[in-house]
Amino acid sequence: MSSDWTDHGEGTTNPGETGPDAEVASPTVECCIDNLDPDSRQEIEASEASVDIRYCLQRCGRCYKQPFFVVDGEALTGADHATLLETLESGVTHDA
Amino acid sequence: MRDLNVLFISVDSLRRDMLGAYDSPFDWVTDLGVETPNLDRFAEKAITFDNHYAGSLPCMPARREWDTGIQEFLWRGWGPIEAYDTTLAEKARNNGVLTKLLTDHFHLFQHGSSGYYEDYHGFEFVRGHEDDLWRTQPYEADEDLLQQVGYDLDSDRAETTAEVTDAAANPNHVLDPYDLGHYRPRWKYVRNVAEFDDEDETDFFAAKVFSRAADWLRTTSGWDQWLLRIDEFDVHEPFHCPEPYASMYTDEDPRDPELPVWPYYGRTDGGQAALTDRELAFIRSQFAGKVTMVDTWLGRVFDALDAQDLWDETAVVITSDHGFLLGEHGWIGKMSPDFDLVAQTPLFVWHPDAPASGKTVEALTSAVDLHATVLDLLGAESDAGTHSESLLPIIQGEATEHRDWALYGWWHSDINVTDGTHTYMTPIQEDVPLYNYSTTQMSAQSPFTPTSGYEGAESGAFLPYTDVPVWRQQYPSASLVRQPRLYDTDADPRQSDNIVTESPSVTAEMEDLLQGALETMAAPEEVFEQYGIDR
Repeated sequence: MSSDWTDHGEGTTNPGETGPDAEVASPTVECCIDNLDPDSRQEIEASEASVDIRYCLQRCGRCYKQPFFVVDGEALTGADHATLLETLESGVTHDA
Repeated sequence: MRDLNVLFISVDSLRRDMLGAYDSPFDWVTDLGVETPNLDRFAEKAITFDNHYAGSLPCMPARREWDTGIQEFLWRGWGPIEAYDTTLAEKARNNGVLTKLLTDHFHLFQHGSSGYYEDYHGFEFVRGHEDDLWRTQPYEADEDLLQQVGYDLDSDRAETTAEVTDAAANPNHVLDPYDLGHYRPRWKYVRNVAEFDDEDETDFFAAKVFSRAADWLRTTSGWDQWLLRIDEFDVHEPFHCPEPYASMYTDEDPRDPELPVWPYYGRTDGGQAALTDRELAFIRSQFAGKVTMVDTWLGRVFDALDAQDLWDETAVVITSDHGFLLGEHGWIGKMSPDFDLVAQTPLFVWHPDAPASGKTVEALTSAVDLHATVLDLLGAESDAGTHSESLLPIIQGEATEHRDWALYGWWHSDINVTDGTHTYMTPIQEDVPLYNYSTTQMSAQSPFTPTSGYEGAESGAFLPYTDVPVWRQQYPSASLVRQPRLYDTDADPRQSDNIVTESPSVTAEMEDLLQGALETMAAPEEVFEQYGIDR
């Protein structure tokens, strides 16, 4: 990705490892703060998963309806965020 | 000075660095050669404000600042005009001014955003922009445009098996299985514009709004004084342009389904907003096309002012709510750290008697100031207790300085302050409780209409600018910058060098400035703690 000036994610929780030097490509996982209750957020922040918790991922309907992460740009849904974390740990986020 | 008609125009997401009146620090903008001849023509006769900053971000908080003079992001987020607010239209109306609103801005009318149009004597709403809840036909939506606005029609998605099965069973299976349950699905736009002709720009939004404005100017007579408010939603995404604008800044086929016109916000190097160089170049070209399209149709409004000989009795204010990152700093959109490409906005003011006409003003000014300015131009007074400081002394040539600081940011996130030469970004501390203050039980975050109550909500007269009791409800916060950042925007307008470590004395000065600003604003106690500022 080229741009006139690139901020390489200074201080962000998970800029992702997308460069050519990344040994194993970690998925970029994004989560909306409005999709979390306080306990779920604590659980995610305490986990080893690298989840970028942000405001509004522009997926308001899904966000209103059910727990979800966005993994490398694709929605991953589950019964709760603990299940989503387990799915991330298993490394199987595409089951279709 | 005499009382004037006021034409107050906002163009959404208009990056100032794409206008001829302002320089761009970014080579790609210069190389593209974006054409804005009408705004350039206007700027030559108006006052150009070179140090104007947004306040409350994004779109609707900016509208409430303009409308009410309240810098809301220290107290609440995206939401309605409050019962205790006094709007521009109400103040003008009470001063005997005819008021009219022309807009294609759906958010003024959607759930949770009441109060933005009701005070005008008349309003017209051009339907269909973004996800306006308008057309439900045709059933078979345009597959190419569906892809361009963000749908993956190849179904190679990370859905659960059950969801994909549901999708396959859905006769309208090209759509996401949750789309019929979605609150703001992007297919709304595809159906809204299904009958638009790409070769006929008069079908599109800026053309419709500005044409109606020109007609209104040509046909409105008999009233002593008027306020015409034009709230144009273009340049806002989707960046879906008619010709000739769609092909003006690219050699690509603008209807190639592989090329996006509605990017997700985020970092461009990974995640949902990841873009290839080709995709980003295309998005930039369509954004630029929309800028030129807006300029073209804005020119029709200027033509109407010419034809009706209205310039001598009309003040014209043109601004934007925020900019939009197009790959700079590694981000796309406006939900990013609040770099100047988002926060430093264009502002032009035409006043027939202004001694500074045709000149550039360097004074630091803020979006919230436009409330008192418009009222002053109309000869009306703003309420005591607002945060708005009229620019009329500058317009009259009686002052060259205006503000020592401008605050800007998103409620629930980081705060920024500028003195006009430096910008200082301070992260919100997520472990400090964040509160929303409002008369309504609102979710400032989507989907705007919560169906259940919030634990621990309190009511009381918490606000320094009204004695009306409000709800105080706790919400989550999220930082984007995580660490303080300092930029010397005079020497480094691209904001490429964070000098917070190497410039401790300037950092301390900016912290003092932020502290003073928050104290002047009588910000809630927790706000000081959220940003690590002593009282």
